[in-house]
Amino acid sequence: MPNDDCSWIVGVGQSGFSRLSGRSPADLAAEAALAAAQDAGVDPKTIRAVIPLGGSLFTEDLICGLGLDPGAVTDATPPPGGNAAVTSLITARTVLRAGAADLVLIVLARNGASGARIQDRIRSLPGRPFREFLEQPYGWSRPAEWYSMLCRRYMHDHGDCKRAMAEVALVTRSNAQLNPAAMMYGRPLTLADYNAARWIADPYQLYDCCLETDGAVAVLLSSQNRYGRGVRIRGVASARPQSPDDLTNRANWYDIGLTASAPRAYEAAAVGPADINVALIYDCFTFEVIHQLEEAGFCPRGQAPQFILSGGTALGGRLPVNPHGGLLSEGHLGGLNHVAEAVRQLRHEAGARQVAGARLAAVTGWGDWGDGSLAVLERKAA
Amino acid sequence: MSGPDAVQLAYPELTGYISAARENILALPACAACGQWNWPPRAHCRTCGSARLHYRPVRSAGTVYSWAVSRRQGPWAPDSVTALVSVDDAPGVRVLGWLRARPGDTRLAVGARVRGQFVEAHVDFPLIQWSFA
Repeated sequence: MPNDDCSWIVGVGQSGFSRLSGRSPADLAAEAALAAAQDAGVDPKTIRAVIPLGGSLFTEDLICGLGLDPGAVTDATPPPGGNAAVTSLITARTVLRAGAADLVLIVLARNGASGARIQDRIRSLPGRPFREFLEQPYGWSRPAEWYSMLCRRYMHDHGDCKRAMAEVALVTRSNAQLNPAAMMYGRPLTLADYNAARWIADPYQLYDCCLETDGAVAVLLSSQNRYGRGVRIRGVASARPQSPDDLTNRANWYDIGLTASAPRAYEAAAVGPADINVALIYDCFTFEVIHQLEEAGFCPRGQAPQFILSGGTALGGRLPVNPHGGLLSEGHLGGLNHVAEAVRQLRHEAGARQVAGARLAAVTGWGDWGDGSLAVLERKAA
Repeated sequence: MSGPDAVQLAYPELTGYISAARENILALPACAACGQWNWPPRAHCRTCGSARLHYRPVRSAGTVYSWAVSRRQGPWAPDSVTALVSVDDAPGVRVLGWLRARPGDTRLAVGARVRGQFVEAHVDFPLIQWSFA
């Protein structure tokens, strides 16, 4: 049973209160937090979880304001971006371990196409003043524009990968033809279609970008393997990159949260990338599959394009990726549809797109400015 | 749109940059405690955590780190190019701005040398525009 003797309030702090602070919420938060740490007599850099309240503050504000290790801070509540689907598994596990509940429900629902589109969602992101004053006035204000710069730099460092990006789009679309629930079921795509599509943000064309989707996905976790067909979380970890509220000035652009979290998840699972049978990669854009295959340890840096072009990620390849069609062709439900597909694959209930004998699945998360996570899920039939 | 008061209210750490930009000068915050340049501006130094950040003028010259083309309509030139530029005088700092180029321009490449100047635009503060050096 949980023990109330394990929770003590050891410090409190506050900023000055006024009618016109002239300071940012991040700055005020850091002042109050430092005062609480000082009151408790602890080094603020040893704080490993933050719970930002009130709506105008993000975990990143505390990481930057207090100099916390962005790779080590646990999210007490899942962050707003696309990394939440996997980090929510960590949150749910924490609740189950604490004995606070026996069943935990994770749900994502949105009218991402007809209602509040991605363009609206990203108005509330960490580092909002940077966006408003230093980025949006130049028209650099959508994920396609941000992440296309990463892709451009990669092409400079590792060579043109546009054909591999096309292959990512074609493979996931082909997979979606085996998934009647996919938005793009019955709508195959050819290389000629891909090449002829309109430009969104060079080098991204239409089919390099994920769908916008109305819908919902739910995942239920329990402390017991009910009904004997449960899928076990064998290892899961999440991290933010350096400069977690800003992409432009990160020292190394390829170092993302996944770079730090993947080795931890494998270690916890006591397996390596070579043991994984099927991968669910957060495919917000085609290049992000290339990027994350490398940072998750499936390919050395610079070599994912060749792996993809040689058929490695197709059904029947060495590591099938996104057999459901992914965010690119099944639908964009924040990656919680990736978790659901991993469960179907591990139960061997994926029908025509089943990866034969799948026992271990990896699911990645990617959100905001490069937060990243990896979960290793395991078939655990009774 | 956003005037000086709006900057002061929404992003007080940026005011030194905006007032220098009005004089067509690129100024960036450096930490008085550890000497490191910081960008984008925050209340605390990204290296040592000090709150003693002071704006210093630098030459607006640098190298293209990466670039993108926005194909979307907006209060900017169609197909405008945005570039992220590593600033010569401020190691580790990259400043985003427009780049005077058209898609397909052969000079448009990572590593291109550029110079910047501030221009009046659709917001109440000047925006930086990079040109090939």
